[in-house]
Amino acid sequence: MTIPEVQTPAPGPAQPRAVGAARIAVRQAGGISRLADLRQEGSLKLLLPRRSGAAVEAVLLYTAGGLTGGDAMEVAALAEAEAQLVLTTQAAERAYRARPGPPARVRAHLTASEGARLHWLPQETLLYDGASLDRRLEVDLAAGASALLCEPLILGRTAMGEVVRQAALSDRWTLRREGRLLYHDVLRLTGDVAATFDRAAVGGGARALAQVALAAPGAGARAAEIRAMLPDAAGASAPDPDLLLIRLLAIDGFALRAALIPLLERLSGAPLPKVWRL
Amino acid sequence: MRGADFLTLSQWLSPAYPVGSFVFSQGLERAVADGLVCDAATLEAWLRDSLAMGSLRNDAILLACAARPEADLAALSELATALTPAAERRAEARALGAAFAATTRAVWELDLPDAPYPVAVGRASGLAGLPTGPVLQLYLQAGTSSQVQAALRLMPLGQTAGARVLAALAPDCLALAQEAEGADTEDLGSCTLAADIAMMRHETLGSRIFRS
Repeated sequence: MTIPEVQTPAPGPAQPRAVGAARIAVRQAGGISRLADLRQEGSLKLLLPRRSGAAVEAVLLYTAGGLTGGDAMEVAALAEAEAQLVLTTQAAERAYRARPGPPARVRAHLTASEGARLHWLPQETLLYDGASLDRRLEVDLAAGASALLCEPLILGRTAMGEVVRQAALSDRWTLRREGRLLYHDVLRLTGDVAATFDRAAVGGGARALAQVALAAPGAGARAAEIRAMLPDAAGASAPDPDLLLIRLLAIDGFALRAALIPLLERLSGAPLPKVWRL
Repeated sequence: MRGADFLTLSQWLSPAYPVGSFVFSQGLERAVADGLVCDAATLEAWLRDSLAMGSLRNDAILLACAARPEADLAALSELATALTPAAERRAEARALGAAFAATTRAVWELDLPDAPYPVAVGRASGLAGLPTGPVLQLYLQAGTSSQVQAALRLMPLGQTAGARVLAALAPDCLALAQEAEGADTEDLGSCTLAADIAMMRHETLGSRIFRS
């Protein structure tokens, strides 16, 4: 299997903005996963802390200090057969107010070969008033591969008095197993995000949310176990025997973390990367 | 629209058409049990959000895409299924679509495969040459009406109050129909997380009368 080609995206025309690309591949030998390829360009770095288990842990770092309109980041990751890779981010990612023009674009393409395990566990994205963010996560799984995916999102830090009155977010997930579409989801937010999240069918006053997916052979059978851990403003369902989906709403980022950390550790069967605890 | 087309469309989207939508609530039963929907005003707001930014919006876009002659029906069916975040809602779309396709094939002799409900309705209307705008308008009103009917069984809400809610949502159905008619799959998206969570939590509701 080849690593998806990373094309450095062109910056927006209006202003010189941050552009970055990173690609990583891991390979398994003797039960231990090791780095097979690592490339990084521009404002995106990959840090490799000292390993604590059989998986390679890689930490994404945006050196431009927050995303704004015209920024373009691209990540490609491959776990070769039976290899294990955990990806996270160094800190919460900030999506700042964007000037008129193209949104900030983030693209991630994750590939897990036969029997591989890939975890995409970035820390929270903080949406600021006026943010414009277009994010796509594509995941391709081979037979027997598994993926644990989570994107936590904070809609204005309530403790700092931040209110998101205007923002545009498109957060798209596309998950395929052996080429067949398993899950497709687009979180689409426009306009007055705070007012929208006050509505009962949307958020009931929530200012933080997370979407979690576990795609693994037999993952659906874990629905009852996982539901028992969830707070009231959360749900889990297995629309496919090999897919468990979880959605969580919380009043703020603090409450979200309190629910999310034990949940992700239970789903992954391992402690979260240390950067989550800093 | 020709009179005959108007009557075909009316028949397909009537509650009497044998698709069985009356056994599904799309999570509304759980939302009522959890106190998120408790009267006419909260019901109207809940359904308005499903139209503006929830599952009915995605359904409308899928229907419009499936109605076009160039539509890749297998890909749209796969997409419609993959977009559904809860098991019962997937089962609902599959069951309604299969029932709709079976009856419509048998009576109108259309070459209509089984597909998730909005895709099946879109494809059938395309094959029958029905104009997509009115199909969308009536589909959205029928979908909203089906939930109002569920609400009448789930909470203290009178027939007149229910009819008033449905009438109040007519402009929302018309606006979405217009938006969806020109939309494509790139425009799909929703943000009704609490409604999704209600669909998920319906699976563990103790005593229930609906299958979603």
